[in-house]
Amino acid sequence: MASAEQSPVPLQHRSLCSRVILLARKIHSDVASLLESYVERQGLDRTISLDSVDGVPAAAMEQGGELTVAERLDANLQAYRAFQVLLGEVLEEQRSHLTPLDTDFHASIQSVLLQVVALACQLGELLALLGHGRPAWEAASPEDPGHRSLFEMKLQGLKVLQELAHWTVRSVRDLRQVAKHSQGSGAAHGGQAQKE
Amino acid sequence: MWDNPSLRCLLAIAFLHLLSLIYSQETGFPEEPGNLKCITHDLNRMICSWDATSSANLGLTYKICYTNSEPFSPVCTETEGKRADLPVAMGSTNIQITTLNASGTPLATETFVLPEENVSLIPFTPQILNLSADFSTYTLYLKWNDSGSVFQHELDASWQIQILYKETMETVTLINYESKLTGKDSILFWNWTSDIPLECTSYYVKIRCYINELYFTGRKEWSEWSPVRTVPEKDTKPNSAMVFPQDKVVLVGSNVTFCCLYNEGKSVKFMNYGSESYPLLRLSKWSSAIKVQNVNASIPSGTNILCSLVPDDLEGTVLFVGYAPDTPQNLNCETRTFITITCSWNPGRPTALYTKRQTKYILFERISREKVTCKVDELNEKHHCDFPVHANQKIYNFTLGASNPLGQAESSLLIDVNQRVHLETPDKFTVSTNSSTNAHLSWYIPGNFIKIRLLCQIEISNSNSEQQLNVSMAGAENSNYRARVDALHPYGTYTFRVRCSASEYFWRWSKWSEGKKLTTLEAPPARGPDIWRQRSPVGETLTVFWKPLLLSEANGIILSHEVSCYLRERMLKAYEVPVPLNSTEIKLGGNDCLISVTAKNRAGSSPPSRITSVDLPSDNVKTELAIATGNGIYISWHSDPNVTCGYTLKWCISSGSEPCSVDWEMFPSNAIDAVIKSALFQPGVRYNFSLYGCKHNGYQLLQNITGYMKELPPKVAPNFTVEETSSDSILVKWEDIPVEDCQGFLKGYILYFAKGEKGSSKTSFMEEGSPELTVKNITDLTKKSLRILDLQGKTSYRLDLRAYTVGGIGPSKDLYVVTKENSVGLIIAILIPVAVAVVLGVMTSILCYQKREWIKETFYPDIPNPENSKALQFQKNICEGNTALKTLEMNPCTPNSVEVVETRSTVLKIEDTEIISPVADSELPEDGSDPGTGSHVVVSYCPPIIEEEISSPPIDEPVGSSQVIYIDIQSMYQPQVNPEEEPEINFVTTAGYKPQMQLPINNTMKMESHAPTEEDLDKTAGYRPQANTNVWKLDSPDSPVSIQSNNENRSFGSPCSINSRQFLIPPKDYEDSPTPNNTGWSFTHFFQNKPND
Repeated sequence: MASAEQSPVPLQHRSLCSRVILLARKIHSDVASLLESYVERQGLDRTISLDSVDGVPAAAMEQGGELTVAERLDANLQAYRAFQVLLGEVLEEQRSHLTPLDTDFHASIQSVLLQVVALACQLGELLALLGHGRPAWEAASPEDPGHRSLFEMKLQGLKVLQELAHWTVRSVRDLRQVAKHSQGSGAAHGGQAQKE
Repeated sequence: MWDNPSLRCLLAIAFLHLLSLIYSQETGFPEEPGNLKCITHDLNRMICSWDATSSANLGLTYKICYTNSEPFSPVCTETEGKRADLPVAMGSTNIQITTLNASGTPLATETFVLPEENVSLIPFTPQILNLSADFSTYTLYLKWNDSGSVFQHELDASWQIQILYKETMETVTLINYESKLTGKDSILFWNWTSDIPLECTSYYVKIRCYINELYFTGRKEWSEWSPVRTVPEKDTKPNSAMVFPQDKVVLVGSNVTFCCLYNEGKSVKFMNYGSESYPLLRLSKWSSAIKVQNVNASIPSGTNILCSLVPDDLEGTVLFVGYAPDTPQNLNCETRTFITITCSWNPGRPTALYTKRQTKYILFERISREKVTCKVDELNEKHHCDFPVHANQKIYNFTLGASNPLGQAESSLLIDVNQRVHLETPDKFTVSTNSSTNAHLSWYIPGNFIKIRLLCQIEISNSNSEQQLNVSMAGAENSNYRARVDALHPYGTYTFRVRCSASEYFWRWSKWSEGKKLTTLEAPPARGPDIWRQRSPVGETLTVFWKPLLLSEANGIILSHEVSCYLRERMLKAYEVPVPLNSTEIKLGGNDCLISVTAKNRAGSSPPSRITSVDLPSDNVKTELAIATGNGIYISWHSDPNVTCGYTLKWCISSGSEPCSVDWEMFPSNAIDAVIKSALFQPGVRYNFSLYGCKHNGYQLLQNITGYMKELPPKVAPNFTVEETSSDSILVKWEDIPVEDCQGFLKGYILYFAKGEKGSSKTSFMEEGSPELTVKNITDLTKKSLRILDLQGKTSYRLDLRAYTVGGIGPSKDLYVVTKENSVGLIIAILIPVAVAVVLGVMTSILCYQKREWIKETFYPDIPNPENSKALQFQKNICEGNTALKTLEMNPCTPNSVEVVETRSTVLKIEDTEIISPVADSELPEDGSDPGTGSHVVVSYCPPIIEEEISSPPIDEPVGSSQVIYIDIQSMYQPQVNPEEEPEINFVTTAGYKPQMQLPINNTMKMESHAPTEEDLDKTAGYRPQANTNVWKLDSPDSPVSIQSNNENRSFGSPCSINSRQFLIPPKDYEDSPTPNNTGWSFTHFFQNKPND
């Protein structure tokens, strides 16, 4: 009887994890093609060094092995929330300064932006489902784009898209871990943070 | 005496001269002043300085007394320094400088006469008040005071401005600047634009001045350089690496310098413009640059300039390259509402610049001096601008200015707003009606048109017509406009739409309003229907027909027809016949009456159509033929003077199983012909018409007419048969074609006939184009048979009969007929040759009988004389004279005798093709390859020959007997020996000529199997049969095959041998040759090999 009551929760985990993974893959695919058109329209080279560009969440995980499920999901959520803001800036800069007539290109960015918003929502939902509660929106304080040169805007946009692509890869990996963990923990309450 | 000025002057000069003499005597003192130099900065005062040694006497002072030309009294001053400030005087100045010691005792005195030429004019050193830089435009702005107040009057001043850059202060440029000093201080401005962004390195500026005073005769020199002013530095220890210029906009084709500033400890790895790397120019230790020439238009997001630094860092900037705005083209300003004037234009060449760099447009009106900024939707490429209409202004002088960071352009247009009215599309368009012939239209046009009249065009269209109606009306403000349209057709469906323009000055029509449909109300039918009546054969009933009214006549939906029967204005009967019936039957009951028919719709009844039921009797009604016109039937008739109320032509068209539908057409009394057209008429169908004449007392049938709309060829071929045949004629009979298959009026038949076997050809005569084709045209339609004459007996003929109309020739039908044999002719054909033969036989017999002795002597002598033998003569001719038979010629041929070599063998039997001719020993090969063979026979070939065999008699025959055998050439080729039966003979004894046809193919094989005797056989073989194809080798002489070939190939079995004796009788040489190297046949080879052999 007890198991019958608890069984929907892991199912929901897995279902939600699958959806998040699917969405992350979709974003990854879209961002890959968006990157192609981005570098073409900005006259940039994909091999260009972007080390000088900061303010973009880096996907590289330094202590990946030590993060809990909640920390993983939280990191993902915070990153996508940041990308939500950054993509909005990129879109606005393209509209206002760089490619004002290229509405198809803007639509592509807009599409990725919406998917990122959806992904952030799903991650928040997953966190809530795991009993961690949705973390508060840490109001990002993006750089004032007014002080950026157009070249910096271009580099910033490229970095945002590249890191977003990396993040989607990381998210797929993280969500697999989460799914595995929720499977391992069976019907038990998955709300508690577990050390991996 | 002192009052005399001249005298006083002379005395003063003398005094001074005396003084100078006194002082000059004192020269040689170290304190004596010398080397006097005077300069002036303002042409008012001058500063004089001199040299004097004062090393031993400290506390020396100098007393300077100077005298200008006036006043004469010298002015003296004392100074401790060796310089004095003196006034500048015109002409020359006498200056006496006395060196005084501390106690005031003069030590030395020197007097100078200083002419103006020795005074130098050196302006004050100018001071730069301000130096500022506009980094966006690479421009330096310089401001300084010209110190014009120093001089009392106007002067020309020249300024030199020197620009230096880099740490090493290299001169960039030196510029001269002219100004005028006005006697008071003025601030001068000057600016300079650099090729290189000012941020790239430090810039320094200094100036100096030169006063060009024409009336000053002294030296004029440049002032000292002003102190250097520096442009605020950016290349010295920048906070972070940067590339300049930042986000700059330049013209296509410009040369642009980009510099990269970087921090200490870094260096530039490369700098790229777009994807191309450029050589670095070092500006300072923290700055490098590249120079890009003739830049192309950039993409919308600009061209990137990258500066890659070591250690790993990247900086960059974006350059926008485009064009200055083009002159706005096709500027057009018009008002739609009299509230605003809308100007639109074509921007011309794209600038390749977007967003804030895109072209901005300002519309300026010169009369009102009002301007509006135009919003341009680049995405939709719409360029227009609205300017308000002013109440009391008619004329507007617009100037449209276009500007972007690279330049500006403008275009102007002067308009009278009243002449540029382009109204908005009429809105809220409604159409209504309350009658059958008119409609009310209403529409709305936004705008204030109180001052003008409007011209509106109303388009009225229905399914088959379209007309436009112009309506002029007074303008109103934001008002509805109304119009009424008359003369519409009742129950007509119309589509209305409207457009408007200014009436007085037409400029442009507005767009059409949306279309609105309207159907007018019904009205009573315009006229009564066309009617006809037909009395039944018995005459008891009368069928009344009427035609439906056209839509334009019906004025609505016809609901029914009312049929009434009047007798002397009294209505006997009335019938209401609903649609769609178009006929009704009336029982007359033996009385004739006047039939009246009216059509009814919702609005009322039509005027009645009337017709009498009376039929007048007709006599001798003829049937005439009508003429097909292709799309109608032309009918003509004779005018009848008794016909007073017109003619009626009636016909009936039947379709399928339905009863035929009666149709008619009425014509006036003076008509004599008509072309009847109907959509129901079909080509090839016969129609019957009845022409009635309307007389005062009734209708009379005048004529029947038959016709076609279009005649076609007959549908079928006539059935025809052969009734009778003889050896030279055929009687053909045919039947009529049914009327429905004629498809036209039959004009005749065409009979084709020609020799032809059944089944030999299925194509028609026309296609065959047979030369023996005979055509007979039968135009007499009453004729139903035809006899074809002059035919050959016992011959097959093909007949083809076709009918034809005006529309063409119909299909054909074939018959094959064989004429009978002509027996008389046959008999004659037999008898004549027999008779001739008999006659000839008789005559020959008689002749032979008469010449029997001569014949006997000639052909059958008792003792045959060979000389007289025809046969032998023939042979002789062949051998001697006929060069065409060289092959048969023997040389010498005359000895065609038979020489019998003495032998003990049995007598050789001469058989058909084996002609054994012993040849003398001298003709045998020298080597005598087989001399020992006693029985060999050499055969000379010269067929046909008659050989006389004189040989020892066979054992069983008496010796000395001889036999002559005559062989004709034919018999030579007769096989005499069965090769299968006597193969041995072939190899051993059958030497000599062998007909090619007789030589067995496997001869070679057999010869090979008899190898030991092969050579002998060859030696005696003579001519080798050509049929032995195995030895016909075509190999080249040098081919290995040839070399390895068998000896048997030495016999030349060439096909040409028939013409060459040499081939037929192989030379001895060949027989001796141990290694024959050519078995193939070749003349050249043959002769070449011969010497070698």
